[in-house]
Amino acid sequence: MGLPDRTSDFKYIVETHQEKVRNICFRFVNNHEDTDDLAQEVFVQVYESLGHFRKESELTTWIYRIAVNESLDFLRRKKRKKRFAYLISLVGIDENKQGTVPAAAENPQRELENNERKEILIRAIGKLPEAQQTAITLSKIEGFRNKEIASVMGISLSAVEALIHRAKKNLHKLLYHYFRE
Amino acid sequence: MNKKEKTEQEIQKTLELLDHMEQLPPDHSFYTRVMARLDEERQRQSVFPAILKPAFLTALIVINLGTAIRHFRGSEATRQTDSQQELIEVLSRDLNLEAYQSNLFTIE
Repeated sequence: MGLPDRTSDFKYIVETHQEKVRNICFRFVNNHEDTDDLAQEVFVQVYESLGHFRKESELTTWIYRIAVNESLDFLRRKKRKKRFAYLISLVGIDENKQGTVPAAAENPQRELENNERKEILIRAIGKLPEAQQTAITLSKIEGFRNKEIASVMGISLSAVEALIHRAKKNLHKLLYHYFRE
Repeated sequence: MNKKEKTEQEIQKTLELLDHMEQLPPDHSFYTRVMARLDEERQRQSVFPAILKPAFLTALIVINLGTAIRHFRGSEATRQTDSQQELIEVLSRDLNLEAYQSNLFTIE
């Protein structure tokens, strides 16, 4: 037995929104494999909840909100796993310790490769409070204006602008501590 | 360039990357993968009740049978008690006994 007739509407929804949803997920998780898995999960949720969509917001806003929430949940789960792995390593069970500090930290004077710089930036963004992380991440995705970010986050436009401003300030602080050492 | 200026330069170079992060292009096979995943979810959901339903029905029948058996056993006891009580009342009337004297017929 196949899926219900709303499949054709759903196809339109997926094709219209998949690029932005995948980019939202990618900006949060920063790897292609997890992005694909996460983005698929977003649309599965959209499909299952389409009947309950109450049209209190635009469909687009609703979909992007699911994408942001799923991405944040994914990051929280990842942090918990990391914490657990760190505890395991303290006890000495896991001998395969991975270095978490890029080579640049050993010699801050040397010119950094773009990949290492990107890695540093991603880690710094990951240390921001969730609201700031969300605001600044969405603001850097093509086609996302602050007004749309405000709708997705359910806050005012001025609140989004304040979050982005604070996020940039905090990023500057985090990077300063990193490069100064 | 002093150390502070050098540090600031590194910070700015790093922050500039924010505006040049990778953007994913549209993926034309993405919809196919989403539908495959939905099919998987549906199959997983239909296997689960196929196993649970017979087990649930069996449990329901057993519980109902148990309740019915207990009920009828209880009714039997109640009927016996009612007959005894009736007999006591009849005997009390025949012998003109007071209510407090009717307990003479109570078998312990």
